[in-house]
Amino acid sequence: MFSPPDEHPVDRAVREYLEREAARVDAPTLLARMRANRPAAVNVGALTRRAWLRGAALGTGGALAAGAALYFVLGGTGPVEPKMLSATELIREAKNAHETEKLDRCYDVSADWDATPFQRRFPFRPIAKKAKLWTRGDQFFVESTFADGLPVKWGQEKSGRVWILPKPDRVLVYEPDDLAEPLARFCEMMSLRLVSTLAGMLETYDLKQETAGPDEPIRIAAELRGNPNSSLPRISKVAIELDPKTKIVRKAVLTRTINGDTLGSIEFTLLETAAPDKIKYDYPAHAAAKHLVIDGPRPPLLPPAQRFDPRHDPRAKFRDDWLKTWQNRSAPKT
Amino acid sequence: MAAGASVHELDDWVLATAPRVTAYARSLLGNVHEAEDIVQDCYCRLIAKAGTYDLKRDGLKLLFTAISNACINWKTRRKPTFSLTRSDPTGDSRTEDPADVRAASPAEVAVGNELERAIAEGLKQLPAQQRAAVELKALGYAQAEIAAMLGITASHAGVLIHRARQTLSQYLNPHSAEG
Repeated sequence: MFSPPDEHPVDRAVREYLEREAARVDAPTLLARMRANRPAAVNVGALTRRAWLRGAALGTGGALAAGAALYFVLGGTGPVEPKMLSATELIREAKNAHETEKLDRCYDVSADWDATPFQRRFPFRPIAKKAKLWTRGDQFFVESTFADGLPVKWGQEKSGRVWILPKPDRVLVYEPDDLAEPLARFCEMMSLRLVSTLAGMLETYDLKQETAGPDEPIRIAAELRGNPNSSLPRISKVAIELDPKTKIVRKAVLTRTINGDTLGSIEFTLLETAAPDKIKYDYPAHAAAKHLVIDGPRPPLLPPAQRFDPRHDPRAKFRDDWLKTWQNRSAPKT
Repeated sequence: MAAGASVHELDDWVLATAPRVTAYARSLLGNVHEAEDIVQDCYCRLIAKAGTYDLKRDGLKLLFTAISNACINWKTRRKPTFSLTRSDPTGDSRTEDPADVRAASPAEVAVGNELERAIAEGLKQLPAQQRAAVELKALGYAQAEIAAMLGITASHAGVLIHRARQTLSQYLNPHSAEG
């Protein structure tokens, strides 16, 4: 890459950083994905990749599917048989249903982790095999218990703020911009944001719908596009079951992989729907009446480089103790 | 590679340019999947018009322009929510998949990696336009070219680059020989 002799030191550092990032890009895979979506004639106008996909779907789906797709593109709202909709449209409807409905839903959460790749990759063991999740949109809270029955809760408020109750009278609060590792990874692994998950399915997964009757649950399997051997812990597969009328998620199974190894799968099964405004996602509704809030470093603001330094974060010790306690109490008895 | 380029020529051009533009998009967004999606979209739009451009001469600059605008738009329209696979108001740590620290090789964990982490952390703190400006500058583009790519004036581009360098210096000072 071009490197002028009078290059500013910051520019040089940025350039070297970008060069290292470029070396990690898998260009042949990117090209293969583009080839797979490339139309027969490229110079047909400024078609985007998604437009090509839509075109391919219309071409192979026949007049019926084309009619249904056009109907939805034009904003139609009348009754359409589920079998006429593509998997993408069904997931879009499910996302809209969860986004717009103001109801709180409770899911039973059951995790089946494979300990070997998990322990090789993460500073914590697979924990929380059973839990109960309340969610509305991307808000949620999770209730679980240690092996000895001690309750544990954490959640995310509407603002994106994450809270943890290591004890009922103590709250660790993380604003959206200060949730750092290892907690970010822990929350990412152990919870479900339905709206985000459905949005992710629309954007970066290949969707396949199982055939079903008009009143049977709609089952859609989603597989992540791109490199399956990524060193990032990805949700590689999602199997989802939708209510045929409301398009609400009845069941979801998320399979997580890292470097091609399966870390485990988490199954979410709809248990109940609560009356409006009964469920609260803000931490005061879950903490003891008298509780101590421990939040991040506040003004005077620290220099950016020190913001995530545990020595300046009063929550770090509590957070680490909490993660450690959870592991110890969740560990299988030998 | 002027109008009427063959499929093979287009493929070669994609293979040659994809690492640079994808790295740029990843750095701007802090999200691998979104970045690859945007890069793919931009390539597709440009290739669809391959007959009207000389991609060998102008393609890279056109790509950087399209990717800059798409990434800046993406970042400014994101809602500040914590999410499974994407993230935050500034657009970064939480739009990113959590990194697997243990996947790093011993060599990567060495001192050189500290500098990489510092610059990555510094870039994350920059507003999208500043980040785009300083990265395009580092990639060798002149101030006037950066201004044209970002749709701003040359003096504004200069201000963005200056501010970005100032912020990044704070992150680099502990790692630089002079510092």
